[in-house]
Amino acid sequence: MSAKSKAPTMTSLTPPTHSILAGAQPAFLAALTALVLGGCGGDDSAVTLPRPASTAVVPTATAPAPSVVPARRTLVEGHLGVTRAQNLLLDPGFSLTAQGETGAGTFIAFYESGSGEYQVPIRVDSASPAGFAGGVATLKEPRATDARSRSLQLIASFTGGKGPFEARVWVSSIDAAGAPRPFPEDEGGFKASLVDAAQENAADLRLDPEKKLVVGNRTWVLYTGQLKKDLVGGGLMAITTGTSGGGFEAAAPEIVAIPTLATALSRGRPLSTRPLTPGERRVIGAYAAIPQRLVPAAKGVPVQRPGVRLKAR
Amino acid sequence: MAPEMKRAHLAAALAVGSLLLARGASASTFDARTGTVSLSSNALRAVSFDGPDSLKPLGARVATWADGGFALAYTPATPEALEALFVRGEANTIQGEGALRLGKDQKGLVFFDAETFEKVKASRFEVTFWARADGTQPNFFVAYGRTDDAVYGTGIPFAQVRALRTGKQTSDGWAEFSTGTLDGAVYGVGVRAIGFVPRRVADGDAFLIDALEIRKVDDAITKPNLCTQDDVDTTCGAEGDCMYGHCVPSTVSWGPLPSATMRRDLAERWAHIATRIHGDRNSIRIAKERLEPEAMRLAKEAKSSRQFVGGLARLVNELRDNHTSFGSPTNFSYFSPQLDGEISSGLGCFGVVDKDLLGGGMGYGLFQSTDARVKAGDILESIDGQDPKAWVDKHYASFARTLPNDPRSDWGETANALSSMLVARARTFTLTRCASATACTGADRTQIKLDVAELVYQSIVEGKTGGGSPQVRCTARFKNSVANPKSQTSTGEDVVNVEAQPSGEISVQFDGFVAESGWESAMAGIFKDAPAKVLMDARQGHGGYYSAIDALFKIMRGPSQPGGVVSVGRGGHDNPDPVGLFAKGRACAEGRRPDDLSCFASNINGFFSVPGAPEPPGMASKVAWVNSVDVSANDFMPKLLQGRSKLRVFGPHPTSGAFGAVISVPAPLPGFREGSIQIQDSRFATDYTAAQTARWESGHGVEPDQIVVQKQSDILKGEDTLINVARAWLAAP
Repeated sequence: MSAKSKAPTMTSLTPPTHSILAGAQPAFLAALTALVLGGCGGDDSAVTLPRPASTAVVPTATAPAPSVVPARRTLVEGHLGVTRAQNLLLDPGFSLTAQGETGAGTFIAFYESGSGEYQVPIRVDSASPAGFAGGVATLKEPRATDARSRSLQLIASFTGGKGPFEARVWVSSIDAAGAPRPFPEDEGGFKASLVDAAQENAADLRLDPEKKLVVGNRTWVLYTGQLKKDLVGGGLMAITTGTSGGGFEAAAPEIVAIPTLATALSRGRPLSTRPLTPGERRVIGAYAAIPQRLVPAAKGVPVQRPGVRLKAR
Repeated sequence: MAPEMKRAHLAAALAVGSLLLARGASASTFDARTGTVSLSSNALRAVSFDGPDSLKPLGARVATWADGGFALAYTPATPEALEALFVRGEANTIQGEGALRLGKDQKGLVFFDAETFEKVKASRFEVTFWARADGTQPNFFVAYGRTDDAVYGTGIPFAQVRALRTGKQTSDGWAEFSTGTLDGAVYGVGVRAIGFVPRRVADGDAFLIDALEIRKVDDAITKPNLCTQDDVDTTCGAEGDCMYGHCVPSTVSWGPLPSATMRRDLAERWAHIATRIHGDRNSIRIAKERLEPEAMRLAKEAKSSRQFVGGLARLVNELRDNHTSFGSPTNFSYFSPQLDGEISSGLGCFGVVDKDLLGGGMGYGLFQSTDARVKAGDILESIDGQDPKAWVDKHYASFARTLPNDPRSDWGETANALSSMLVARARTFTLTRCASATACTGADRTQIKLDVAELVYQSIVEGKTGGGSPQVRCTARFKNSVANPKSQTSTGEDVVNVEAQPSGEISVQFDGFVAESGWESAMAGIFKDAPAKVLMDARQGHGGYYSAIDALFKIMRGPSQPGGVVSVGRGGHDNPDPVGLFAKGRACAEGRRPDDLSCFASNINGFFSVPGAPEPPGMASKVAWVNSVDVSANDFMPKLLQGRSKLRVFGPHPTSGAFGAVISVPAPLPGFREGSIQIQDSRFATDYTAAQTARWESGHGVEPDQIVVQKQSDILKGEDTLINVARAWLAAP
């Protein structure tokens, strides 16, 4: 049956590295998407393209080129969370992943071939689609070359129920050295899926050719889709890197049940399902084997206050 | 641009505009034409971070966090050291010619700007800056202290505040941060420094800082007026909190008040989690009835972090699930708003007592004293002039990190936390003392009134805290049932302490079911020879592993008296219990294949007695199971054993009643630890078929078969009432 998972990390004096709680981020993301920035450094280089940033919509291979919209650095509304509050994913900012949590609902990555765990580096890049509210998960196995890599699968469970479900995740591509590279036209083996564990099938999200965000030399694309069915019990989001070399970064994953939205916009493209692959079965099995904890909340927190003693008489 | 995107962009622009209006006109302003920020002209200190010279008035020191600790190592701020922290160029700045880029070698800066902090010591001020995360979040603090050493030198800050994003952000990742309005001094202790020091930053990751401002706001500094928890709103005002019997600005206890948008975001998120993801069926009901509407009201109406953050934390506690918590602020100062829990706090340790010498009834009594003014056996008569339990019932939920599911279980948990609560949150309390176990009338009964707030407050303002007797970890046990028990090993495993008594009884004292390596074999060893009498002292039971309760169940209960449990996740966001969910779980509780994903999908697990299996030797033992403060796995185990022949559960009240697996949820705000929720509920029955009509058990603590409360008279005699009663039952034929 079960054993306790890894304990939460020691209290940090600092704000948690990726302290988030989801809330809504739609306006911010919409503005980012609409702006499609170019030249603003999201990397570590001290000198990048001059500001105000030139702005250009970058057409994808499959989409008609939208009109070019000139823009400078503009003001947008920041939110507490990285996605909408109605996200059924518990940790879309990967803060629990960063802390090494392994409980249900937390994103955990495994090697698809052997189901060994891969420790996901999480960094906060406020110019990414996650903004300040969440982290970016780096999915690149250590021995990857630009041509070959072992496939990683990042998965998290979520509560199912009445559908349809709308899912999305922002993705960028990196080379074997971790540097940004253009998103592969053939998608480089990348796959983002919604898994119905009870029915043992999956539906693959599709790249949205109209949503692209270019920040410096990093290109973010959006995978999205709508699963038009109910999920009894729970489902999973699975993000698979494939074996085509380099790696990917993922940000702001979201699964929303359309019935939970006050204004239900049902414009997503319907997804079709397929059987699970053996690799997916292995990884989900490894995730399912995570022990369950039966310990009370917030016990064992060390004393934060200096020793207050009664004043001596 | 697509029409809907234009609308979204316009909506965002309008929303930002409203935020700007809400924050007043004195802050730095964003120029949409140039895409840059202008520093305000009325700031006490406005720093452009153009180069080392810009730091000269700030008393800058280079600092790094010590490994694994909460101390800063300072190094000289030479021009070369400072220059290495600057970047320049328009792409890396939002104001002026340069910005700080902090992260390399973990180095940061602390500004001991005595000149500016002196100017605001009798007034209120605000710190704002702009930041960009290039790998890591900015780490910032305002530290109050009497000396520079209080800024994580050899000491820790008297008080500290972090900054939150205001909601003003740019399309390329810059965001404005603000402390909100802060008092220039707390209890007379002024601000000593502000700091930006990265912590545990990976190579190449950094954050950028630009456009720092320190501005005076007004002179409405919080006066440390005498206050109680009942009059905090009127005495301290909406923005104040009441700690140590005196008003403090709630920015130093609960942090800055998040912006209206972020308040709404946080309230919506917790409402969503509590109503659509949570697994405790009782908590889901409470969330729909109370948390959801109240959280949204708080987000709209709250005027301070005490009201909003503290209020939301209370609402989460009032979900009544001991696996659920909002998250706790990591506030290394005197002003941690939540209780430290089971710590003597310079006073002593309370327990639940039968006030037999005072006419009877349940109350709080001192099990142990760490201050000469109070003694073991003293009974708490009043807190701030009120019945102690009534006062605790009113206020504990505001300061607890989680609450028991079953309110009848509050007695034990609040007794453990009472010393911390009295020291931090009460103004006065009164104790009644009996001269002896046989003399408690007339002159033999005395009252001791302690102005606890004044004592602690004076210690704090005079800087004379610390010293004296050591802090003691409080437990629900008046006496241990074995000699020299250990609680946990270095790996965190609960120690199973075993002692054979001359009477033939085997005494077992353990705190929970965290079984790493030797726990299960230790338990099996106790029962392998079917000892006649076993005392299981689990009075401070903090839970543990599902596998451990399964193992002990199989050791102690056989199929001749069957039992078991099934724990079931939530069937859907819209309906926790859709038709057919429970029926599908039979296979999951009666032997699950490792590759069966359907049990995982429904989050169903459990175990029942296996008909025809051999009886375990433990079935032959007469077992006294003693509870007090017990939760989670320590709920499951007595529930699984109760009803078995030759077993009796003793305790002063029901256990907590938390029946399901727990998972973490992300921290609600910067500077907080993560919270948690329960994702299952459980049913107990003789078999799976019977479980289908059993009730969900969360919210219902395990009732003792025999209620036993520690007697005041026994405390004065040095006797443990619960152990005595349990042993008497074991000794009886």
